[in-house]
Amino acid sequence: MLMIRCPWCGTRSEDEFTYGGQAHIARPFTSPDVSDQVWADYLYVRSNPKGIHHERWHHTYGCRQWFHIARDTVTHEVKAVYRLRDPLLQFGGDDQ
Amino acid sequence: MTERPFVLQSSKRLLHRSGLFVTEPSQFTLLCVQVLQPKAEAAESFADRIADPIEAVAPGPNATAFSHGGLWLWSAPGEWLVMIPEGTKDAVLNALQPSEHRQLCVVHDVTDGYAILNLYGEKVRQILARGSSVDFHPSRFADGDCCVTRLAGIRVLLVQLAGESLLIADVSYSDYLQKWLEAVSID
Amino acid sequence: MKKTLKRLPKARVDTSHPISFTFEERAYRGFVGDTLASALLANGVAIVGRSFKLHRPRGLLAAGREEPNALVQLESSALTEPNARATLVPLYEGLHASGQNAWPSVRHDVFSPLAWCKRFLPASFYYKTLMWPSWRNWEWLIRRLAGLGRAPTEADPQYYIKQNVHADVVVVGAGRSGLKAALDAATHPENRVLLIDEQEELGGSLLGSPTDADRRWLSQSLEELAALPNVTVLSRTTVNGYYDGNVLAALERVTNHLGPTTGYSVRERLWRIYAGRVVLATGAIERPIVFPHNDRPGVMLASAAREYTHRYGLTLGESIVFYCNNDTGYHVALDMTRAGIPVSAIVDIRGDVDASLSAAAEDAGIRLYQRCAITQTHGRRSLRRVKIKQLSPEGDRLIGESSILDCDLLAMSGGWTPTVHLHSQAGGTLTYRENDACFVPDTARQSVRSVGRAAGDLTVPLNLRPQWLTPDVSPEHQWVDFQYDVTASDIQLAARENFVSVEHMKRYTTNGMSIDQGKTSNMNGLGVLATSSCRSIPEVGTTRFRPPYHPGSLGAYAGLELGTLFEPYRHLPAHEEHKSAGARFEDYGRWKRPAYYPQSGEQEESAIAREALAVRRSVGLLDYSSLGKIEVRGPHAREFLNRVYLNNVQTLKPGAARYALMLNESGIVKDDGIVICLAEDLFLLHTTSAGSSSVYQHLEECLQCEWPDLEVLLSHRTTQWSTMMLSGPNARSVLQSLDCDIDISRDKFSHMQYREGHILGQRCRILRASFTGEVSFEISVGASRGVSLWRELKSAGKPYGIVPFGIESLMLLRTEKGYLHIGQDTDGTTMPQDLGWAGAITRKPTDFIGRRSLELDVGKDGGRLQFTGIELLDRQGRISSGAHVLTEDGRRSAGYVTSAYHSPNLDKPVALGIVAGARARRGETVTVIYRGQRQVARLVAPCFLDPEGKKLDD
Repeated sequence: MLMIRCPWCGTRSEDEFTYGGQAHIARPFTSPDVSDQVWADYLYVRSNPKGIHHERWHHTYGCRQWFHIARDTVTHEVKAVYRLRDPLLQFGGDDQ
Repeated sequence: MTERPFVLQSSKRLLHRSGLFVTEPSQFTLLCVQVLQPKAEAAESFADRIADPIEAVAPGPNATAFSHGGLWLWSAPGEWLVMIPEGTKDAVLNALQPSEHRQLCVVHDVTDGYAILNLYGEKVRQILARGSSVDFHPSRFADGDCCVTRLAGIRVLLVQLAGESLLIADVSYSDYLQKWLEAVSID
Repeated sequence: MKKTLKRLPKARVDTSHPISFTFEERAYRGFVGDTLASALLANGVAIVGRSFKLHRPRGLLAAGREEPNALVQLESSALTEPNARATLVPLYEGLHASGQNAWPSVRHDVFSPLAWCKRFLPASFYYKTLMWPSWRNWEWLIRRLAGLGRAPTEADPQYYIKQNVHADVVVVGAGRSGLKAALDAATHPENRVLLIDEQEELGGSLLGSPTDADRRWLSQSLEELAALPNVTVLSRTTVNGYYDGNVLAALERVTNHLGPTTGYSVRERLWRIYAGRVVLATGAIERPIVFPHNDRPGVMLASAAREYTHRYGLTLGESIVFYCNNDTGYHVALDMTRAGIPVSAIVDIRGDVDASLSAAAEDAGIRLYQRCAITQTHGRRSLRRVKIKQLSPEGDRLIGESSILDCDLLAMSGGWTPTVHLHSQAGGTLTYRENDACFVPDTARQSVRSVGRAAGDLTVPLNLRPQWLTPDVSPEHQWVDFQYDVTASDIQLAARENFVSVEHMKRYTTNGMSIDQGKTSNMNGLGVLATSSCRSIPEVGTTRFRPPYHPGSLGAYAGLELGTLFEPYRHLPAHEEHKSAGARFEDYGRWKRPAYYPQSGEQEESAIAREALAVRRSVGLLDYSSLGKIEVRGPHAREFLNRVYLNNVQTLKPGAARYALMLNESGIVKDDGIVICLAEDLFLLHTTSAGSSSVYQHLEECLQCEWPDLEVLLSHRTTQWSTMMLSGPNARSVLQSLDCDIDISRDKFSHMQYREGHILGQRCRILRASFTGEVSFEISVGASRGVSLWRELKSAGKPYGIVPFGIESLMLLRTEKGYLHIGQDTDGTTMPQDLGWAGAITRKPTDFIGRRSLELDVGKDGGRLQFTGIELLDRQGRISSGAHVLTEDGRRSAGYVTSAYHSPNLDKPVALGIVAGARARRGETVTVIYRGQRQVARLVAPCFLDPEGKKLDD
C-alpha cells in the first residue's frame, strides 16, 4: 500500500488516488509535421527505470487535483510530491 | 468553533446505536462556490494577493470557517461548499456577487445533489476509521477541520464540529451510506 | 503420554474453574487458562493429528504458532473452522474439536498403512508416476488421501469487521523486548503507541518462565502500561502483513476465545495499521533436530516442554530425555528439575559443553550423553525409548555400539530461528550468523527496527553446533517438514535432480509450503540442502517471506462488504416510485436502475416488448436521472470542448445541442454524448450514465495537466438534476398538458434544441434529443423534485396510455434505430471511422484529442471491425449478442454481434455488430454462429426503422 501525500489534503492511502502514468510527457503540437514515429513515441514509449520514476497521480477521492510524485521503483518509496507547475525534480542516479 | 451550527437545528433521526447517532439536518441550503485558480501563484497565497470578497473569507485546505452567514467547507483548491440557512440564499448570493475585475467565479445551489448526515456519539471517529485512511485522532482532525476522503468506497466530505461530525456525500449514495453506517456500527 | 492429574502450583491456569470440551467425540476436562493443546496433553492424549501425505500419527511439537501437527477442525456446520492450531485455541466451555485427514479418528486411522509406503512416495512422486493415462485420472484419489481440514459449506453467520488505525509507534510482540520498547516509546506523551500481541495474555516467553523475578517484572510492566493513556494494547492479534508505506495488517480474534457467537457480535477484526515507526519484537522459534523418526508423538521442542511445564503446570512425563545441539536444553532441563520434575538424561551432539553447565546438570541428577546422536525412536502410539550412538569427533560419522534410553518424552533443541518474517516483508535484508546458525535482520528498508530475539539477541550464548541431519543413517525417515511430510531424503532427491535453488527445492519438495509456511522447517531444509549440495547456508540463501505470516479467516478479509454492501450503489431520486411500480432493478455501473416494469405474471421479454410497443405507438416515460451532466464554463469553454470532442463545437449556438464523440489520445472512442450550448461561455455535457465519472476525470486531466492556460471551470452536476424522458409520438401532447412556460410546439422547439424555463412552478431544463427514434423530451428538475415530476408526467400521460419503461426497453428501441451504445457496440479498438464518422473528421479544421492517431496506418486498414446492422434471413429466427460472424471460409471470426433483440415493432430479429470491413459489404450474406448453431444473415445499414428520421421531425 503506497501512502501518498497529496499536496493539498495530506497523506492518504493509495486507494484514494488514480495513477496517470509517466509524468512530464509533453503532447506534441499536432500537424502533418509530426511524424508517425514521434506520435507513436508520445503515445506508447515510456521509460521503465530501476530507480526514480516521475509519475502523475490524481487525488480522485479527495480534492481531485493532479500532481506529480517521484517514486523509487525498487523500494516503492515516494521520494517527493510536487505540483504540476513545479519543475521536474532530479535525484542522484536518476536515469530519466 | 464552539456554537452548534445553525444548519443542524432541525434534524431527522436515522440511526440510533450505542456510541453512534445519525440524523439528517434539514432547512438549509448548500451552495458550491468555485473560482478559477490562478495559474502562476500558489493557491494558498490567493487570499493575500487579491482583496476579494470570496478568497478573503474562504478557508484554506482541510479547514472550515463561518462567513457570509454560512459555514464554509473547503473541498478543493478554489472550491468550497457553503451551508446556509434555508431562505437566505439570495442575500448570500448578493454578498458573493463577483465584481467585474475578479476571476471567473460560479456559485451553484447544490442542495439537491448532496446528502448530509450528522453524526455524533463517542464512537464516531472509530466508526469513520472503518472506512477511510484519514487519521481521525482528535489531535489530527480537530474541531473546525474538514477533509475530502474515500469512505466506504465513495468520495465524501467530512467536517468535524464541536461534538459532532458532518458527512457529506453525493445524494445518490444516501441509501448506501446509511446501510453502511448501520452495518459497521455493530460493535 | 502421561495424564496429569494435578497442575504445578505456579501454573497460569485457574484450577478452580474447570471447562469441559470434546475432542474426537470424547469428553475431557481442562481449566480456564488452558489451550486446547495443553488440555489435551493434560488428559494424556498423545496423538492429535495425522500427517498430510503419509497419515503418520502426530503429537504436539510446539506450544505456539509454529505448531505443525496439532491441526484440528473446530466446531461443525456453518461455524466450523479448519486447520485451527490446537496450541492457539483457548479452551472454552463446550469446545468441540476433531482431528483432520484421518478416518475414523486420528488415533485409529484406516489410512495409516500409507506410512509404510514412504519410500515409494518421495517428493513429487505424483508428477512422475501418476501420469498414465493422465493426472486427472488420479487427482481425485490423491485429494481424497492427502489433505487438511474441510472448508465450511454453509455461510458463516458471524460478523467480521475492518478497522483502520494510525499510530506513531507500533510494537509487534509483547514479550520482554516488546514491553520494554512500548514503555520506552510511551515516555513521550505525544507518541501514540500501539502494542500488539498474538497471545491471550501479554508476556511472550515470560509466561513460561519459572523464575519469580521474571514474573514480577512482567506484572510490574503490565501495570505501568495500563497506567499510560497513550498506549493502546491489542492482544489476540496477529500482525500478518507488512506492506509499503509502513502499513501493517493485523487480525484480531475478538470473540474466538468465547467459542461460536450468535447475534450481533464481532468474531474477528482486521486492522489496517498506518504506522509512523515499527518495532518488531516477534521473538524466535526453536528448531527441531533432524533425526530418524523424530516425528513420533512424544518428541517435542524444548521450548514447548518449558511452556507446558511452567505456564500450564503439566508434568509431561515420568522419564524425560533432552536432545540438543546448544545450551538451551540444559537451561530448560535444569528449570524443570527445580520445579520438581525429574529429567533422566541429556543427549548432546556437542562434545565441548561448558564445564559448569555440565556439572549443574549432573548435580541435578541428569545423566549426560555428550557427542552423541539419537539414531532411532521407538513406541507404537507414543514414545517409549530412543537409540543413541556416539558421534565421531568431526561429527560426520557414528561410532561404537548403540545404547537404549527409555523415555516417554523427548525434548529437543536444534537452535533458534529469529522470527524475521515481518522485517523481510517490509523489504529488509537478512544476514547469516554463523555462531547461532540463523538468519538475522540486516538492513531495513522502511522505518522499522527489530529488537530482542527477533534481532538475533538471544540473551545467553547458545554455543551451538549445527547438525542439519543425522549422519551415517538413512535420511528416509528424518523429518524436516512435519506438516507436509518432507524428510531429509526428499531434499537430497531435489538436490540430486538439480533443484538446488532454494526456491526450486521448496516447490519441488513442498518443504515449508504448508499452512505453517515452514516456521519450524525452513532453516533445517536449508541446512540439508546446503549439506547435500556442498554449499554454505549463505550461498544457498533463504526463500522470501510473504504475507500472511499466519493464515486468517477469509471472512475477515471480506469484512462487511457482502450482499448489498458488496460495492457502493446509487439510487435514482425516484427509486421508491419505481419500486412501487414493480420495477425489476439491475446494476448499470453503480446505479440501480429499472430494467423493465413487469406486470403481474409477465416474463422479461414480453414486458420489454410491451414497453417498446407503447413508446412507438403512443408515449413512454423513462427515469433518465443517472445521465451524466457536466457544466463547462469560462471564456475558453468552447475552445476546450472543441479540443476534447471530435465534433465541431465552434459553430454550436446557444440553445442548440449536438451529438459528439469523445476519443482518447489513441483515437479510440471513449464516450459519446450531447454537447449543449447554454450561453457563449457555458456548456452542458450529457455523457453516458456509466461514463460520467471517467469523462469528468478525463476533462480534469486535460485542463489541469495539458492546457492549464485555458480559463475553464468544470462542475459535475449529474445528481443535482433529476431527468425524466418522455418519448413517443404523443410525448409533446403529454408535456403540453402540464403547466410549463416553455413553448414546446413543433415549430418553436425542434429536434436537438434546448430550453430553460419552469414546469409545475419549478425551474427546469428541457432537451429535445432522442435515443429511441421517437420525439423525446428530456426534462430536468432539481433532484428533490424528481419524484413529483415523475408522478405528474405519469398522470398527465394517462389519457395516452403512458407506460414507464426501463433500460432494457430503451436498449431495444435504440437497437431498432441503430443508435450506438458505447462500450456495447464498440470495443477497445473502435475508432470513429468504424462508426461512419470519417466525414466529420475531415470537415473539422482543428486538432482534437486522438486526431493524429486516426491518421496512423492502423486506422486506415479496410479490414477493421466496423459498425453494422445484421439481419437474419429467417424472420422468425433468434439472434444473440455475442454470436460471431464467420469469415468467408467459415473458419475464423470476422466480428461479432453486439446488440440483438426480437423487434416487437417490426416483428423480426434486429441486431447490431462490429464486423470486418462491414461498411463496404452492405447486402452481403454472412454466417452467424452462436453456441455451435449457424444461421444465415445479411449485413445491412445499422438502422431498421425510420431511416429518414421522419418521426423526429414530427
